[in-house]
Amino acid sequence: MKSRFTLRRCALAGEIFLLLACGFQICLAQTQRAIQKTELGNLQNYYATRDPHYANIVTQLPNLQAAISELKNAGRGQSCISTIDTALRRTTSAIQSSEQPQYGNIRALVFIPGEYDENRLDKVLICVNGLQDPSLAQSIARLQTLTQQIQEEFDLIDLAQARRQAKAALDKVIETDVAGGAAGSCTGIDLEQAGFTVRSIRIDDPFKFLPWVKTRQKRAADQITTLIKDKPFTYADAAGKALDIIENENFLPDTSEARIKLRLELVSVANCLAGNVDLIYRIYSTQIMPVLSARPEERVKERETPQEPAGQATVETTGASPFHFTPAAGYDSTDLLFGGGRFEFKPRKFWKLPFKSAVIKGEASSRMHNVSAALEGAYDSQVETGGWLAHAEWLVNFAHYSLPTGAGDIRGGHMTAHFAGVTKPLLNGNVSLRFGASLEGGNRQTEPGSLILAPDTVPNAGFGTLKLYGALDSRFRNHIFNASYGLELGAVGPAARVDWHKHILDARHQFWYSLGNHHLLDVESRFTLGRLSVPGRVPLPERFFGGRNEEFLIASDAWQIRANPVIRAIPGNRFFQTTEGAGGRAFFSYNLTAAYGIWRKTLVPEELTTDEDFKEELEGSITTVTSTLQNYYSSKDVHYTNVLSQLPAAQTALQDLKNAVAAAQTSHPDQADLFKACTRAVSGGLRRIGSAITPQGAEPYGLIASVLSDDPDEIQLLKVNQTCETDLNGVLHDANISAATSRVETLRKAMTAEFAQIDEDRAQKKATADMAFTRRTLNTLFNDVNIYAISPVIVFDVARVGPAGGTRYGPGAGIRFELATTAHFTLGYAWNVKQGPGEGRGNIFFAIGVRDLFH
Amino acid sequence: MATTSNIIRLKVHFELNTPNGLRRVIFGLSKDATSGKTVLWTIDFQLFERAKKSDPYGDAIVTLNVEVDKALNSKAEKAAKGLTAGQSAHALGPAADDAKAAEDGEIDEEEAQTTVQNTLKKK
Repeated sequence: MKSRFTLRRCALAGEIFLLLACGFQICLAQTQRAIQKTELGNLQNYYATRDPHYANIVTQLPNLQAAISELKNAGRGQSCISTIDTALRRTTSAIQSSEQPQYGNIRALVFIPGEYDENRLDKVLICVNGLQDPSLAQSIARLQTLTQQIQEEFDLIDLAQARRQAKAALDKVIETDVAGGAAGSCTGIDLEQAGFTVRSIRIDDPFKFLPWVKTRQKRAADQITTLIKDKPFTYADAAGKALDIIENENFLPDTSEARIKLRLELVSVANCLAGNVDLIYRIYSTQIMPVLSARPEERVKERETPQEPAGQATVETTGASPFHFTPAAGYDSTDLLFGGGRFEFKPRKFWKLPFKSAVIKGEASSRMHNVSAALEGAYDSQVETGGWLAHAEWLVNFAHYSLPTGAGDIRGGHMTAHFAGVTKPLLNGNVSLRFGASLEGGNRQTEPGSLILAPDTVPNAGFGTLKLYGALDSRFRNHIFNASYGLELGAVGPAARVDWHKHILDARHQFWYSLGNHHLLDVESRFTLGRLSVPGRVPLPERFFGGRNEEFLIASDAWQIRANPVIRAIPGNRFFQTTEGAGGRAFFSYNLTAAYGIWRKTLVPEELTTDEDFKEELEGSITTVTSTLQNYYSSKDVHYTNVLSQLPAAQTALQDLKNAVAAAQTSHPDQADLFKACTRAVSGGLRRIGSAITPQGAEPYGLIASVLSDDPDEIQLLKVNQTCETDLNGVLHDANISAATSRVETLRKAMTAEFAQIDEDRAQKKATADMAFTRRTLNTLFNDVNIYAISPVIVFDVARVGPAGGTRYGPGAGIRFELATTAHFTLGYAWNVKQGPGEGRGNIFFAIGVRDLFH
Repeated sequence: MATTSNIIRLKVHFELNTPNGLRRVIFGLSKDATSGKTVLWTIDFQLFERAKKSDPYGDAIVTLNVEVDKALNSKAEKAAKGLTAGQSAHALGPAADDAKAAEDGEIDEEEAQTTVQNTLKKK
């Protein structure tokens, strides 16, 4: 009995304790939330003071102070004196303070909806207007104007942006507080003076799973360990020499494509405990293809193998193999389990042939095969130049395939010669165009089985085709849109006639959005439409056969124009029955794939992706390339050409002046300093102009800008006039020097006037447009890309073949694993809701791609 | 163990290529916050040249390390977020020209360093 009572008391005490503990935690959490909210408001005010409109208000404050003082000193409105005094006090305080206190005072002067207790300027105006004193009219009008200007500027302050910046900053602080607290924090400690010892070192590179990165990382880590581990911490070694070791390893070598490089290195200290400190070296390097990143094919790579769009897989450096091999495998109930892959040999020089690589790829099972071998070449225009062509590629390809339809097989073998080009971004950087053509010749065969031949269709034939195609690509922050059109003109046998023509339209839209932190919602839609007209005869495999298998109009991996109705619910190529017989003359298909990443690891640590400074510093490289490009476009301006044409005359005039000065110098030994200054200015100008006339790899635009500048730091022609004519010749009064300086000055004025007419705005717009895709791609790479992600997937397909082959619907679901470090694969099942004969009730689809085994 | 970290050095590298593809400048900007109290900016300026576009760039023909005047700290902070058109023109033009002239002994290295640092002052 006693023990039961004791037990009950213990339970009660426990409940009370639990209640108190929970209550305390709730209170604590509420207090913390309140503090955070206050801090958020405070920070928002701080960021509001960084707004340019706020700066405009601050410049008006002295005028406002004068206007209010004028009213006060008029001494006519004693009834308003208290109102005027308050407004004056707020204004004076605003002038004398800065940041948040200043913001508070300014905010008290203007009208804020829902807040009427302050609004000081309005109150003064209402009061003094009420006096109806004509002698105050001018002062009131002045105050009225200033009030209106200040109110307008205040209303234009981007408070939403300020709040976002405040939130990002606060998140960082909270993260730091939570993670580190006081224990182990290195904040504010001079580690060298405090006698800390280096406990450990670590090099972080998101691409360390690549063999060439791993080798360098290990080599650098070994050297840094020897240099500083277990030794007294010094900034010179830890931040200086150690970072030099990393830089010497060069984690950003050139690639085989023209890319824009970004490189950022951070040295951090952590865990300052018991006199020891850990050192972390973070390397973020990436290189982006400026135009090609707008292609939907690239977006798929960003998800599956981010190292490729980040330019880490095609580096030309020792330790990077010229061989690439990416195994692949898959399954469906018609093709059965198939395996294969893509092997590429990409030497630094492909002997003297116009190719960059040799590629063999394919997949095969006991029922099917699809293999090809190609020689591929490409050209990239220099990023920092103009011209409309950004990229060109060509290939010679041999392919052979045999695909099961369930009723017989369709087969073919052919040689292709293909050429394609990509324009630089057009329409303010929102669109780029692709165009291309190919010639193909070979044979098409059929293992007929129970396939019924449609009219004008032959089972086996030699053939030749000419294909022409074009596409439009567009990339925005979270979207890629692409539409491709292809025309195929074909003939049976070696004939110059059109036996059939095909029209293909293939449109893709990709959308991705981070819900939460890097939990990516990825939605891809694809709509494909095809029409076949047969004025003569057509080989059966050239008709449309649909199902899970994808067929492409052209042989290029970089441009995939889908040319058959794809529906994942029907295995192989089993979707082909029409009222005419086997194979459609028309089709459409729509495929929707939506995935949501529930488990992921970000490419860049989350603490950095929320850091505005980090983002801006990363983007700095693109800003710099944009600036260089802007100078290039400026140098194409006609006024710049006019300046260039005057350079030889300026060079001659400077040389004449130099000679005249040298001639005068011997008779005026007492003016050595003036001669020296003049000669130095003339020599400097001559050197710059000489370099601008014969640039030898240098950039004449910068040299000309420098020589025509009025910046006192520069070597400029203006200095020549000052030092030679005003200073030196002011003493000498030498007619030869005067004449020579006058010629230099005349030319300087003419060139400066021309240079000033260069349309910089136009150049800037063009440069910004050229870099638009690059900037958007960078955003995706650093904000949305994960090193690995596991995502449930839902799919929905609709497909139809004609004439009268019927429409099929294929809803389904699956799971997708994307592990950049090893492989990516998708497993799922789709139901064939309205099945036709021989198509099956549904299909298991499975595909796996392994990371490049040599890189 | 806690993972709080404090950045003591940050370095950004900007690659500037001339349109003719024969000259490249690597403009490295480094910020050292040694004791958490003082900030020191340095410029690591490297110039590369090649005779033909098809040749690879070899080692830098000139390397200049410039300790930035503290009065220019705010400009360095801004430049770390990307060089402007004026800064790019200056880095590829006068700064590269003077770096080469210093290498050839035409001017003092100090003068070339000043020209490199002046990149930060350009608009």
